[in-house]
Amino acid sequence: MFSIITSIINDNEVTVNMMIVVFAITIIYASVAERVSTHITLLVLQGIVLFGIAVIELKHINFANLAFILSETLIFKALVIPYYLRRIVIRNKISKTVDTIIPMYYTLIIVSVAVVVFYIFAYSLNDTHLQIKYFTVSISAIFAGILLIMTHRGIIGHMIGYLVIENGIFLLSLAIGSEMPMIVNTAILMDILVSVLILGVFVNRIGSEFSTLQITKLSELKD
Amino acid sequence: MVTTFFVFSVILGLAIYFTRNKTMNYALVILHLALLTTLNIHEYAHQDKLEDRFFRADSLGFIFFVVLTIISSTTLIHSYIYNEKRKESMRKIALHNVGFVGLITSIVGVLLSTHIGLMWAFIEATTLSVAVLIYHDRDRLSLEATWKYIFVASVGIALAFTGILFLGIAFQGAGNIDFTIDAIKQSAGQLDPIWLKVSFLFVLTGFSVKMGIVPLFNVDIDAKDVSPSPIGAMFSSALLNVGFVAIFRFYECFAQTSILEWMNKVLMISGILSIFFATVYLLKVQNYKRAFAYSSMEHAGIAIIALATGGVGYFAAILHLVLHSFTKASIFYQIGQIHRVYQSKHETHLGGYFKINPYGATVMLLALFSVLAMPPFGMFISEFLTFKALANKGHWFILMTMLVLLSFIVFSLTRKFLVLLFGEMPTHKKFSKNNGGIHPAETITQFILLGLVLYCGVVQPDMLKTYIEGAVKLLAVK
Repeated sequence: MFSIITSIINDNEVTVNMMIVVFAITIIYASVAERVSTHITLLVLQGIVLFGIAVIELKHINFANLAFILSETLIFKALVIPYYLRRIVIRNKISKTVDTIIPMYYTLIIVSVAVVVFYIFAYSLNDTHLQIKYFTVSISAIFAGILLIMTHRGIIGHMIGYLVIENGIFLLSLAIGSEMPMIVNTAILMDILVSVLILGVFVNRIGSEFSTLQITKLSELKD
Repeated sequence: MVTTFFVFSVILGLAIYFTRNKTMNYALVILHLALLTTLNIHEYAHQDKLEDRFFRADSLGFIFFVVLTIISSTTLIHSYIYNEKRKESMRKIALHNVGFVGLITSIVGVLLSTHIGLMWAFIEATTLSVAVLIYHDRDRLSLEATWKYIFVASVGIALAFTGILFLGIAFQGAGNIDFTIDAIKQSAGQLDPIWLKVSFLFVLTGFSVKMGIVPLFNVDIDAKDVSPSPIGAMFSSALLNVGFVAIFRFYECFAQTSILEWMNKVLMISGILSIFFATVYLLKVQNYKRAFAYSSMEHAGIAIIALATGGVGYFAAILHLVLHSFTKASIFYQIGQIHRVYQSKHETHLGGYFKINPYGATVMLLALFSVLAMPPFGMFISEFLTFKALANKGHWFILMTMLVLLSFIVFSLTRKFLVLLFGEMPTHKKFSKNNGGIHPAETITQFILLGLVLYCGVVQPDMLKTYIEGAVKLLAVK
């Protein structure tokens, strides 16, 4: 048993494949997760998986860039942002379960079908350079994130959807090999961090102003 | 020089945030504007030269840079008046000025970037800095608008980044990933068209938030409505232009490939739908600020259709946006004054403005002629050229639809302007017949901006023509 695990870990491709599958499972699970805390745990798991994939896939890039990307995934995606989300939930006494427009059973079906459709699409492109697994899972994550935003009534659900989209995009950028200059990497990290912090600030304000964090209450602006 | 500008902007931004002496605070903002103007002059002397590895002022970037410098200067004057009249606290003023400086700096970054990844990062920076400005009034409406704007803009910008990554996938096939505009233009012809199409679609969707066109236009309208009027002017001019430049850069990259016709169709659909939605809402809306926000959407739609038509349309699109920036900025400044008089933006609460503030009313009358593209105002030329381009290319259906929709808009806007200028004076409690303490000098900037639009229509300066032609040439040169 131990030898099997060691051989799996030593074989980079198998490890990456497994982690991509784990990532895919997290997005499918997110489509049916009822508890806010489960969603946050899934975000932590996604951050760790992205860290693992980055360690293996980006070994060849220069040290500063690699250290930066690794700290981005592990520190920010897996620790800081989920911790901050938990604090927002506690501070605003957000309901422990999420409220959706359509039954979660349907979102599960939609996301599962989407994964299959994206896989068939990627396969049918016949592009030898396209990493089909990466492409399928990352596009599915972006799709699942948008679906989370569309189907959830609570603001926290929207933030989680946004973070799932960001994780999907990060996975897609790993598939391309991250040839972006350092400054763009910095900008991406700043973007995620600052948008989450700013969104958090506004969630707190909405919480105290409207006494509920349902998006339906934010409908005073109209023609 | 460009990097130096960014470094100084960050230092000045921090200094502005911590300076709680009003005179000093505004002196720092003026210093930033002086830096902006210096950089503008520097770019005039160093056109088409690569600076600091990633920045270059080509004709397109330079034109909109000049527009940004002019509009920023006038906006600062009106922001000062806005904050003074409302007796805002020093903390609010400091935050407002930090957001203002941040917005200007990030727009400069977008206009001068030669790397699309970097351009994307600067566009994201515009979202974050403008959020501070939308939330200026700190009430429920501004909270709602800010939350929606940040959220939808962040999702939109994330989608645009996905578009850039799709381009990266296309490059993987070619073996070399280089996201500078020059490199993309050179190798786009050899890339798989399917990836280019997907990339363009995502980029257009993402940056439509900034330009205020279909599909993601809603939050832009809310933000223009809720933010202080001078910031509404920045939204309808400098920030709208940012969206256009971002879309134009990708269009420029792919213009020499087989997907050109497809891109034109997509842009045409987005443009005509933008005009359609603008028309529908303009007929319904009674809030004047929202009405002018929809009018901006209509003009953005016209510019996108002009771009999609090609030929003389390319020239028309850029000219239209330059002139629209000046016109709409002066309208939004004036809306600020109107709000001070009537304490309302609602149609039923307004009227008799000519009797109350004849200078401001004259601005609105001239702005009406300009926004409706009547001769001799410059926007007549750009709209006429757009129609001509559509006719030349045989897009009769689009042309006829556009004309029908525009006639509804002419009706709706004219009616709104006439009610405001010559209608009966309102009787609601908040309205006082003194003119809200408005000094005639407060309308000088509006007259200057409208004068520029008139000048461009009558004289048609060679310099402007040369720069726009230079920008159009970017689409032809590989």
